[in-house]
Order: sequence, then structure tokens, then C-alpha cells
Amino acid sequence: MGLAVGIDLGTSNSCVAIVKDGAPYVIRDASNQNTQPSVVAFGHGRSVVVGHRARRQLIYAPQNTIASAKRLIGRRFRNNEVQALLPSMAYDIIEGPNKDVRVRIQERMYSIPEISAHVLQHMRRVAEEALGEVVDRAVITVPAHFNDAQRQATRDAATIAGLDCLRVLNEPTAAALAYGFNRNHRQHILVYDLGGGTFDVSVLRLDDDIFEVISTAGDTFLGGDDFDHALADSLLEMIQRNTGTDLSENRTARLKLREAAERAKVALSEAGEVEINVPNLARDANGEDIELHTRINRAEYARLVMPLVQRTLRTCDEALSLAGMAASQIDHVILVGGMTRYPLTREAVNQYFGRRPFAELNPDEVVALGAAIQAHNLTSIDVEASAVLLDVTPQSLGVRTVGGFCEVLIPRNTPIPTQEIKAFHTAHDRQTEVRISVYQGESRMADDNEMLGEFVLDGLREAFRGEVKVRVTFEIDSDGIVHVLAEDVEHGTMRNLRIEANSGLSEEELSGVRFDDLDF
Amino acid sequence: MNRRMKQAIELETLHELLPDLSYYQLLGLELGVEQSSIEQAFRAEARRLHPDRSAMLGGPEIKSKANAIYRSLNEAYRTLRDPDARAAYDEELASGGRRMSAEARKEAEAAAAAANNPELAAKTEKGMKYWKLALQCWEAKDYKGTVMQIQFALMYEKDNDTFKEWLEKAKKAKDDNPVDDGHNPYKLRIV
Repeated sequence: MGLAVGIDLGTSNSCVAIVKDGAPYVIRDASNQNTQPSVVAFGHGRSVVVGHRARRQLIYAPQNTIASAKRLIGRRFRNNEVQALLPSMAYDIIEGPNKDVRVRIQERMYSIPEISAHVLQHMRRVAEEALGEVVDRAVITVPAHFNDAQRQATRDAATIAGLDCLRVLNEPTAAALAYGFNRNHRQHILVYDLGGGTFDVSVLRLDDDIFEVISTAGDTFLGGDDFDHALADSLLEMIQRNTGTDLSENRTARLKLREAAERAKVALSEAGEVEINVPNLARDANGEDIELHTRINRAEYARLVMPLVQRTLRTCDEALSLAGMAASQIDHVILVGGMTRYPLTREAVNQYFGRRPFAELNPDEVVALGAAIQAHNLTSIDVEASAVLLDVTPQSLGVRTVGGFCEVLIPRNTPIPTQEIKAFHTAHDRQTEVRISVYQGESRMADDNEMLGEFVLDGLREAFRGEVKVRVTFEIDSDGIVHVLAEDVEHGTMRNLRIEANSGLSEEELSGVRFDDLDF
Repeated sequence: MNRRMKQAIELETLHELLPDLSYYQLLGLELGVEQSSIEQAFRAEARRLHPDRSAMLGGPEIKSKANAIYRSLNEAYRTLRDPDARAAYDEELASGGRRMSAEARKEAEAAAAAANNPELAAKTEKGMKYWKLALQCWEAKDYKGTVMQIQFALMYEKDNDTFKEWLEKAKKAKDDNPVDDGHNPYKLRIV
């Protein structure tokens, strides 16, 4: 058996770590980089490059280069958030056979788990080259607020990459583990995790080697990308005002503006005011070059992105209220994710909690370190020495009932693994099948929640309504993945149902795309 | 006998006994135990019995047993940590039940939620109208509005203790949170 590592599969960057001699450390690549861009670039034929080399291709072959795939993983194409993202994506996104999202590159279709699998494969190679040993198992992290479909899709990505996924671990929980590992703390901490595309807040109680998540709240569509979009959109408007040319349909121009917006964001963390220069942006109706030369200062930038920062603070409110705690009861605030490097976010957190956040950890590495510790826990023989993570389910699990309501079976923040049993009765005379639709989310109306899947139990005995009973067990496992087991009480027949179709790949497809033997 | 074997046998035995154990027995507690010791007991048992502890112990069979044990532990904790659900469970236990059905637990949780739900505090139609407005103001952190609406509500229900209690709370919140010019609940200083 090979080595087990921890992989932080991020929206913008990924990081891999391992525990050696009792301490976790980040594995660097041959050029001594601690993180790798989560970018996959397709070249001619079947050639694929990932990481720093792919990141460089982003600007000159945007239609063949996939960045931020994590924002699409495990989502339905018709999802509002996916639709909102479409105009800003430089590559072709289409609806897949399972209502999922697929990308089209050079006339070939790829599912999102396949794209993410390339990133995982790359991280695995980085680790294998540095360690000189085979790596075949990993703990992979996901945003705490990810739902069943997104977790399942991440697991599928690991399978495609030929990795045995030991655990799908929540990013804030991993960060807490890295913070508290071997330190014997007794305190309440809050993890503020603002990454490239997602935002999570978790409140944990640390008691020696027990890490208990008390509450978690999040927004899977809020991250550094949105900060860049906000500035890029305002630059787009500025160009239209000044030149009369609308570039909103011009993909290359939008991408250049996005890159410029990101550079400005980074520069503003050092300087009070920065220049934004984008030459050769596009041509106007008369064939003249359109260029952009402007300046932006911190206050202007802050005004632009303030609504986003406020959304993060409202999520902090939510997590604290779910935990039944006040901000003053938190002993330490841990910052995670590249976006927390910026003075703007740090200052917001400072003011909200009335204290400086704990800043000794590298926000780009802490999640991977925690994942490595958990990988070590799950594979080491010496169980006495390991920490125990008590995690919760981030979203309520329910079924659709008459009138389109959603009946909650397992409320959010329930410790996992857990299960709930529900009896379903026939509603009409001679009814021979029962249709059950499973949802995740907090709305009372089923349609406002995310549908995980639907299944039909057929072959029931013809009888008067209410006579036939079906018992359905809903289980959420340690990965936060939902399993459904249905039992016809009368016949005693059991059926195991995987909620599929939403992660993007059916069981058959999954076995067809494994690329552990493929040559790149 | 080494520790791993001991652990495996313990899991096997516990799994076999599982259907017959009450929530109290699962957590290693006496029937009338104080509410405060329940959490502690859960944490101690979780440390010992969490499925991650036995990850390297054996194949899928032992894993599924460890999972089943921990799920029951969670179920016990969820029921006993809530005093209302616990009272309902104690009744069920007295009549011979070992487990709390999902429906029964949900009923108990709903009853507890209703008791804590301030929306049900109003007794008259008019009182209810202003009381609801007051709670909306409170949600929106408009404490001045909250005070005003509660005062209206009190005109219809002079002796409502919940209203009076909340009036004090709202007045205090109003004093603690002077209104600022913007409507931004989070004041941020740009550096």
C-alpha cells in the first residue's frame, strides 16, 4: 500500500500535505511552490497540462483552459448560480445527459469530476515526485456547505484519478485540526474561510483531542472570484461609458479585465492606490484599439466589494446564532483561504469580533495540513494517539410532501454519521408505486431547495390507500454523503438506492472514465 | 490479548447489545442523571467509539458495526440533551420502549420550539398584529421600532409578561446600539 496524503482541492489553488515523524508539512513541487493553480489546460490531441503551466495558458487559449471548475462541480446546469456564472466563463459550458454541467473542449465533452480529477492527479504526481514513493490514498477537503451532490462528485473525481478517497473532509474542520493538533486546547474557535469561490464559517469546541463542530454556515457561491468579477464589471461599465463599446459579449476582453482586476486586488493589499492598464483590449466599430488606463484606490475598491464582505459577516451571524453563542464567547478566530490575506477582509473580521484573528497559520496551507493529519489518523494503527473529529451535516435533508412543501428529516448541524427512518404510506387506492424526492436546504418550499434526486418504489401490492407501508432509511455518512435504503414492510424486501444523476456521472460512466492508466 | 483485539471484541459485543440498550445505558448514565453530565458523557463515549477510531481495525463489516453504534450514540445524545425530548423519552422508557421513534422525537422538538417561540405570546388579535411588527423590527435590528411596536401591543394586553420582558430587552438594545447614519449593520473602517 502506498502513502496517504491530504489534498486541499481549491477553487483557485490546490495544496498537498503529509504527516511525517508526527508532524504535518506541505509538499512542494520541483520549483519549490507550495500550491498549484487548479487550472487544467487542454492542448492538441490528448495532451493535458495542470497547475502553473496551465495557468500561463489561460490568457492566450482561454477556450481550452478550465479554471475554477470547483464552482461547477456537482451542480445542475439549470441551477441559478451556474446560469449567473455563464457569461463570465471563457469556455463552453453545456447541459450534460444527467442535467449536470459539462464543458466542451475541441468538440469533446468533459464532466466536471473529470476536470477535477486532472487536478487531483497532478497533486498526486507532485507528492510522488517529492517523496519518491507511491501515493494512492487521500483525504480530500470540500467547503463545509457543500451538499450531497457536490461531495459525491468530489469523491468521483478521486475515483477517476485512481485515488482511494479516505474521507471527504470539511475545510474549516481541517483548518481547526491543523490549529489545535497536539496543543491540548480547551476553547471555542471560529473558522472564517474565504476561498476563491466559496465561503464557510464553522464554530468548534476544542477539548484536548476532541474537535466538535457546533455549527456551520456558508455560501458556496461567494469567494475571491466574485471580488474580481465585481471590479471587472465596473471596468466594463467604465469602458462602455467612455468609448460607447459594449464588451460584455467579448470573452477575451472580459478575461483580460478579470486578470487586471485580480492584479489590482493583490496590489491594493500593499499600496493605497494602483494603476490598471490593459492594452489591446479589443477593437471598436471603426477598428480602433480600445485600451484601458485608470486608477483605483483602497476606498473605491472597498466600496465596490463591500456588499460581498457584508455577506460574509451575515454568515458569521448565522453560524453564531446556530451555535447559541455571541461573538465575544469565541476564544480564537482562525482565518483560512487566500482572500483573508487582504487588509479589507482582515479589518472586517477584526471589527466584527472586536479582536485580532489568529495569524500564525498560513491561510493557503492550513486546510491541506489538517487533511494530512486526518489521513494519518485514518491510516495509523496507533488509534490512541489520534484526534477525533465530530462533524455535522451543513444542510437540512428532507423529502417533498403534498403541496410542494419540504419535510425535514435530518436538520442541519446534526452530528454525522446519522440516520433517520420514515414510513411512507400509499395515498390512493390501488397505488402500486411511491415516488420520493429528496432535497437539501433550509426553505420550507421544496422547489427553493436543491433536489438531490428522486426515486420510485414500484411493485407494491394493490390495496386500499394507507394499507401499504414502505419504510425508508436516510443515512448521512462520515463524508456527509446521503444514502437511502427502502424497505417494503409487507414483503420485507430491501432496496439500496444511491442518489445519483446529480453528481454528474452515472455508475457506468464512472467506471468508463477512470484514467489511472492513461498517458498524458 | 492486544489492544486492537480488545477493541474489536468490544465493538462486536456492543453491536449485539445495541437493540436492548436504552439511551442512558448507551451513554453509560443513570436514569435521573443531571442534565449537565449528558454532554460530558457523550464526548467521552464519542472519543472511545467514534468510527474513525476503528478505521484500521478491519474490513467493511466491522466498519458498518462501528457506524451503527455511533449513529445510536448520536441519536441518544440528540434526544437526551434536549430537556423536553428527554422528558418524552423518559415516559416512553417507562412504558417499555428503548428507542424514540422519529415521529415522537419530532413532536417533542416541535413542542419545545413552540414554547420558545415568542410569536405565540400574544393573546388578542390587535396585540398579535403589533407584536409581530415588533418581532420583525427586532429581526431587522431596529430597536427603536421594536420598543414602539411593543408599546402599541401593550395597549391591548396590559398584563402580558412576555411583552413586558421584551420591552425591557428592546429598550436596553436600543440604548446599546445608537442609530448611525448609514443602514449598514457592520461598520467598516477603510484602511
